Amino acid sequence: MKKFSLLLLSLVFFQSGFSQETDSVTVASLKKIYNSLEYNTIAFNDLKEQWIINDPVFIREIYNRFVVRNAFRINEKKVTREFLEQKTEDIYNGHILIEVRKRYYDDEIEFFGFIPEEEINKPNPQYTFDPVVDGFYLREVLNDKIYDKVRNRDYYFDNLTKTDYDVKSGYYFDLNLDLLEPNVMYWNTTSNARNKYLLSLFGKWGDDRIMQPGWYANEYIFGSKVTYYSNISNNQQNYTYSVSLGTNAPASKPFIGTAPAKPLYVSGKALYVKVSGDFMKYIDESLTDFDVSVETKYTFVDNLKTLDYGKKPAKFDFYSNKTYFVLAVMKRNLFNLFDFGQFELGGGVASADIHHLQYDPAAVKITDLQGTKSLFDKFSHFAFLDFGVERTGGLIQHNLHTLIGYNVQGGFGYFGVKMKVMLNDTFGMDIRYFNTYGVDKKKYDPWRYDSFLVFSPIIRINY
Amino acid sequence: MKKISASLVFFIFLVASFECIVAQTNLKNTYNKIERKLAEDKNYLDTYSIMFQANAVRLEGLQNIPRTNERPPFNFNPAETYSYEIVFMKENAEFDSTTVLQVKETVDKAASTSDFFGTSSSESTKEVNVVLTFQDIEELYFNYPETYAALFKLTEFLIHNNEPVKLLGIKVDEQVNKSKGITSKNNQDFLNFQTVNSTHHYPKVVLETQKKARRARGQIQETAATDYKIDASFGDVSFFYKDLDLGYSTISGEINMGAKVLNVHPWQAMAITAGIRSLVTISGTSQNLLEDFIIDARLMGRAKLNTSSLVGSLPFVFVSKPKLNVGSGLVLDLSASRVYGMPFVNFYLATGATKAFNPSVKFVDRKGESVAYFSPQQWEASMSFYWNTNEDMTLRFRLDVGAANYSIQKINYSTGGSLNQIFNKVQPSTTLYLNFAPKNIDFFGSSFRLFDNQLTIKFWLKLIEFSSLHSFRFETSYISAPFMRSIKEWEAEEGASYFSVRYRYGF
Repeated sequence: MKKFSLLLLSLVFFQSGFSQETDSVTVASLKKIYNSLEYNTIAFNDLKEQWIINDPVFIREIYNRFVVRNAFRINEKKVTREFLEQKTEDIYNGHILIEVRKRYYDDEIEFFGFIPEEEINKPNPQYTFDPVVDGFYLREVLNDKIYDKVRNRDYYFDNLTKTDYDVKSGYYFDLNLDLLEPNVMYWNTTSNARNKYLLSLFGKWGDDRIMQPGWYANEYIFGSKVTYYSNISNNQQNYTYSVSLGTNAPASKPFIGTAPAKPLYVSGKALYVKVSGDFMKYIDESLTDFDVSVETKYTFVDNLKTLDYGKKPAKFDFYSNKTYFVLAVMKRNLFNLFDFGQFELGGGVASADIHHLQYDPAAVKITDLQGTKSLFDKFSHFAFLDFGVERTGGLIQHNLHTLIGYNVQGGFGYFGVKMKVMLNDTFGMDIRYFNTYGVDKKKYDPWRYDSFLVFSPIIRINY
Repeated sequence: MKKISASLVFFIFLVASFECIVAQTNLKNTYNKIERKLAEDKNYLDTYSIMFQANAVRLEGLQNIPRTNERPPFNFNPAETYSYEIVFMKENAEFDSTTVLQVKETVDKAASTSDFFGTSSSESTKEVNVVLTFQDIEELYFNYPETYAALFKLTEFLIHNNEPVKLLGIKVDEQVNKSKGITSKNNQDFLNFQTVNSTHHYPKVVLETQKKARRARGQIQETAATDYKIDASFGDVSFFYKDLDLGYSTISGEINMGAKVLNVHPWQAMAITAGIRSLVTISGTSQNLLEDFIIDARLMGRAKLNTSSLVGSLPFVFVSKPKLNVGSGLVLDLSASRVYGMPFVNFYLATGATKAFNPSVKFVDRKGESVAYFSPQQWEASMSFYWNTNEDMTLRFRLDVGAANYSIQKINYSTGGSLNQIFNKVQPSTTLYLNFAPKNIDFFGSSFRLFDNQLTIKFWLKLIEFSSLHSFRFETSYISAPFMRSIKEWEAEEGASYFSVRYRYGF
C-alpha cells in the first residue's frame, strides 16, 4: 500500500508538473500572439487620448463587474478573496481610480487599469490589478452599455490627453509680424545637408538700450538680413551668425500723448549694420551660448536743406540722432529657473549722438544750434545690464527681461521690463515699459519722455 | 496510519488536479480572448489573408486535420464552389516567421444552386465559416507538428506566388497626422487659392489626397468644359471665351468699379477700370501647372466716372458721399508663382496724369474753402505665403506681406491755388486670407487687410450651385474708419460697408 501510494503520488506530481509546465509555455506563446495581433502604435502612446475615471459610483459599477466576471488578475493569476476585500475597502474610500487610454487610429480602448490615487502621474505606476489591454475583452467584462459609457466618457472624468503644442522651427518661410521687431524670412538655401542660410526682411523700431523704445523713436529701420545655422535646430536662437544691413525712414507715432517740448526727428539717410552670433566659442570651445552683437547706425547723407523737411509754417527747434553704436553680450541657458525658463544674463555699452537743430522756413539750410561742439562731445554713453528668462517650448513661450542702464553724460538712469509672450509660437504680445530714475533735470534731454509703454501684437507663421 | 497516508495522497491528488484545471482554464481563457479579438476587431488587426482553391494546390499532409472541441477532422473540399482563405500574421517584433491564425472556408451557394425556373441566381450568396480556428491551429502546432508544418508550407507557397490581402482596417497612410499643417513646395497652394478666389478662370488642380480616393457620394463631378466662363458681381465682371485659350496663355476681359490699393469700396472709387487679363505659363516641353512658372497679369485702363450721386442711391453700397477722386490712367496688376525658391510675388501699379485733372467731387472743408482731392497714383508690392491646416487642404491660409503707397493731390479752388501733392507715403500692408474648401469645393472665404491704419474685412459664402456650371455667392465687405491716427480730410469719418451677389458660370 505504501509503495502504491508513493508511486501514485509520484505519478500525480509528475503529470501535474509536466502538464502545468506545458500549459504555461503554451499560454506564454499565445500571449505573444495576442500582443502581436494589433497594429503597433507604440510611437503615439503619449499622444493617444487618455483620462482618469474619477466618478466614485461609476468606478464601483465597473469594479463590481470585474468581481462578478472574476476578471481581476495580478501577474496573470487570480486574486485572493482577502486581497479583493482589502481593495474593495480602497474602492469604498475612493482611493482607487481608473486610467483609460484609447487607440490612436480609432475609438476603441486599448488600456484600462485600476490605479491607486497616489500612483497617478508616476513614471512607472503600480496598478492595483493587471491592466486590461484589449478593448474587446473589456467589452465582454463590462458589457456593451458600460463599455460605450467609458469610451464616450459619459461620466465624471479628468482629461490627461497630451495636446501637441510642440514648437518646431520650419525653415521654409517664417513670418514674425511684430511691429517693434518684424522679421519676414522668405528664402533659404543650404550648402550641405545640415546647414541653412536664411534671407529675411527685418524692421526695428527704436532701441531700448539707448532708451529710444519704438513708437517714440520717430524713425524706423528696415533692411535685409542673412542668418546662418551651421546645424538646423528646433530652437532658432541657436543660429551661428547673422548679418543685417538696413536703412532708416521717418515713422509716425501710433498714439499721440503729451509730446516733449522738443521733438526728435530723422535728419538724414542712414546705414544700419548689425552683426551677431555665438562667436565666443571660437575663443574657447567652452564659451558657448554667448550671443555677442555689434550694432551701429551711421547717417551718411545729412538733410541739410530746409526743404528736406517739407514746408512748415514757422521756425522750430528739434533734435536728431544721427549715429549710434551698441555692443552687447548675452549669456543664454545659464540655468533653468524653477521650470519658468532658462535664465539669461548680459550687458553692454552704447553710445549715441544727439544734434540740436533748427528749422527756419526763411532759411535755405538747417542750423546746427550746437555747432561749436565737436562731434565727439555730441555723444553720450550708456552702460546697461540685461537679465531675464526665456522659454522656447510648450504651449506658452515667453521672453521676460529686465534692463537697467545709466547714461553718463545725460545724468539719468533708466530701467524697464520687456515681455514677449507667445501662445503656441503663433499669437502673442510684445510689451515694453521703461522708466527713468535719478534724473538730473538740468542735463535731461528735452526730447526724452520720462516713461514709455510700447507694445505690439505678434502673429508668427512658420513653416 | 494507513488511513492518514491514504488521505494525504488523496489530498495531494486533489490539489494537483485543481492546479491542472486552473492552468487549463487560463489556457482556455487566452484562446477565447484571441478568438474574440480575431472575430470582432475589424480595424486594428495587423493580419493578412490569402485565398486559394483546394484543387489548385497540393495538399500533402493536410488530410483529416484534427480539430478541437470534439469536432470531426477537417478535409479541404476540392469542388469549384469551395474556396479557402488562410489568415496569418507576418513576421514581427515577436515572431521571426509567418504565424498562421485561421483558415476560413467560403462556399458559393449561388453557383451550386438554381432557382425555381432552373436558372442560376444572378447574385451570389456566399457562406463563410472558420473551418480551422486559432485554437485548432495552435493545437496542431503543439500536438501535430507535421500537419502544422504542411499548413505552414502551403501558406508560404501561396504568399510566394500571390500578393496577400491586408486586413488592417485603419487607413494608416491616410490618417497620418503632423504636428503642424502643411505648405506646398510647388504651385498647389497658389492654384488652390486662385481657383477659388480669382474672378478669372484658373484650371482646377486635383489634390493629392483626392487622387487616391475614388469619387464619393456628395462629391461634385468634374465640370464639363464650357465655351464661356463668366464671373459677375455688382462691382465687377470678367468673361472668357474658349478661343482665347492659346495653350501657353489664356486671355480674358474684365471691367471693375474699384481701386485696389485705396481703402474704398467699388463705386466709391469714382472710376471704371477695364482691360484684359492673361494667364501665362512658362513651361518646358510639357505644361505642368504645378511646377511651371505662372504669371497672372492684368493690363487695364482706368477712367474717372462720377458716381458720387449714384453711390447714395445704390442699395448695396453703404458709404457717405465720396471725397476722394481717382485719376484716369493705366493699371498693371501682376501675380507670379515662385522662382528660385522665392515666395509668390504680387505687384500692382495704377498711374496717370498728375497735373491735368477735373475732379468729380469738390467739397467745402473745415476752413470753409472749396477743395478737391485726388489720387493719381497707387502701387503695392507684396509677397504671398500660403499654408494649410492639414493635408486635405480644407482650411487654407494666405498671408500677403508688403508695402503700398498712394499719393494725394489737393486743389484749393477758394484760393485759386495750384495742384499740390500733400500726401505720398510708403506704408506696410498686410492681408490675411482664409478659405474653407472641403473636398476642394469652394464654400467660404474671408480676408482681413490692414493698410494705412484701416482694416478691410471681406467675406463670401457660396449660396447655391447647380448643373456644376452655375454658382452664386453672397459677398460682403467692411472698411473701418482710420484708427490710431487722425482722420484725413479726404477720408470718411465712419466705416463703410458693401454687399454683392456674385454669379459664376463655367468655373
